[in-house]
Amino acid sequence: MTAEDRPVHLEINCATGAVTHTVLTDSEMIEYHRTLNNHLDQADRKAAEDASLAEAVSAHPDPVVQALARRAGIL
Amino acid sequence: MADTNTANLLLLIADLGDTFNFGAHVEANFTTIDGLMGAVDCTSTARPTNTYKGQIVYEHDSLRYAQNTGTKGSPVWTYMSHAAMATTFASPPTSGLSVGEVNYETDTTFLKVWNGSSWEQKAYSNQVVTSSAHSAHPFTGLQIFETNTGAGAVYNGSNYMYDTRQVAASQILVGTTASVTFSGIPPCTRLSLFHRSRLSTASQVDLLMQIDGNVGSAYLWAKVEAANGVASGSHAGALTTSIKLGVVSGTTTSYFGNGRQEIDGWSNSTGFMTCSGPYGNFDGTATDWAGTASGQFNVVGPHTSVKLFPSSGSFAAGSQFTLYGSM
Repeated sequence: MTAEDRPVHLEINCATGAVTHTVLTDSEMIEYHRTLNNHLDQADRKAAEDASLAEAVSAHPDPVVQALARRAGIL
Repeated sequence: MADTNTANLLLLIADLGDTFNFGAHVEANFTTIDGLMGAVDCTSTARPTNTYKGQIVYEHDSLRYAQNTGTKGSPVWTYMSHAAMATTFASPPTSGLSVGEVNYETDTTFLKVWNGSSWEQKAYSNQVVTSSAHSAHPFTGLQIFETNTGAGAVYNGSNYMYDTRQVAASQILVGTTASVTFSGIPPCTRLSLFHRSRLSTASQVDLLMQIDGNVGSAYLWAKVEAANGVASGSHAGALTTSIKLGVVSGTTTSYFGNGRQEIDGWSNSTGFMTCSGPYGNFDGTATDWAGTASGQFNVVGPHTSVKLFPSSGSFAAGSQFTLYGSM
C-alpha cells in the first residue's frame, strides 16, 4: 500500500480553522492491519458460531427452547 | 492703528513692495465683523453678525467650521464639512448638529448617529472583549465576542445571553480517514458532538473517543443497547483507554450510524468531564443497534481536544462530525 492509499488522520484546529491531513506511518499501518484482521477474524468466528448455534437450536425438539432462541435473536 | 475704544480694533496692513515680515496675533471674540478675519471662534447659536461673504467661523459647540455663503446684510452660514467627531461616552456635542452626523466614542468604541434629539446606536456592532472586561455601557442588542473564551453573546438590556456556536466547520469526510480530531477547542462549559459514520473496510465496530491525546487508562464508559431488538447493557468496569460513544456502521453502501454526545465539565478544573447521549445504527434491513452511551474522562480540565476513531478500520467517505460549544 503506497502512501497515497493509506488512511489519514484528520485534525481540525477550532481556534484557527486549519484542517490537517496526516498519512498513517508505517508502524501505525502495522497496528491498523493487526486490529482490523483481529476484528474480521472475530466477526467471522461469531458468524460461524451463530450459524452453528442456529442450526443446532432449530433442530431442538423442545418448542420452548426454540421460542427462547427466537426471542434472543438466534433464530 | 488701534482705536482707543477697546471695543473696536482696526488693523491696516499694506505691502509697500519691499520685503518685510509683519505679523499680528489677534485673539478675541467678535460679535460684529466688518471685514474678513481668519477663523473666528463662536457657537452655533451665537455667530458674529455683519460679516462679509466668505467669512469662516469655528463653532466650538458643534466642533465644525462654517462659512458665510450669503451677504453681509443677510448671512447664510453653511457648514464646510461634517467633521469626524471623536469624544468620550460622557461628552459628545449636543447642539448645532444635523441629523445623520456620526460620533465615535473613544472609551466605549461605539459608533453613534445623531437622530435629531439624541445620539443613537443604530448599528449593532460586534464588540470584541474578554470574559472579564465587558463594556461599561452596554445597550440592548449589543453583540460581543470574547477573545479568551471564544464565546459570543447578546445583551438583552439587563444581562448577556450566550450563544451555542459551532466551534469548527462540520467535517464531511471525502476519503478513508483513520481518525478525526478537533483541537484548539475553546474553554466552553458544554460541548455537543454530533457523529454520523460508516466503516470503509470492515463490519460494524465501536466508535471511540479520547481527550487531549491521552491514550492511557483514564476513561470509563457504560451503555445500554438493543442489538436487533434484543437489549443488553455493558460497561468498562475499570479505567480503560477510551470512551465508547456508539456504533460505526459496516460497509453496506448508504448505511450510516449516527448519534449525539453532550459533554459537560469541559472547562472544569475540579471535576471530571462527563458525557452521555443516544446513538443508532443500521447495517441492513434486519441488522441494527440503538442505545445510550455515557462516559467519563478521569482527568480534570480544562481540556482542548477530542479524537474520534473506530475501534478498528477507518471511517468511510461521507462520514460527518460536527462540534458545538456553549458557555
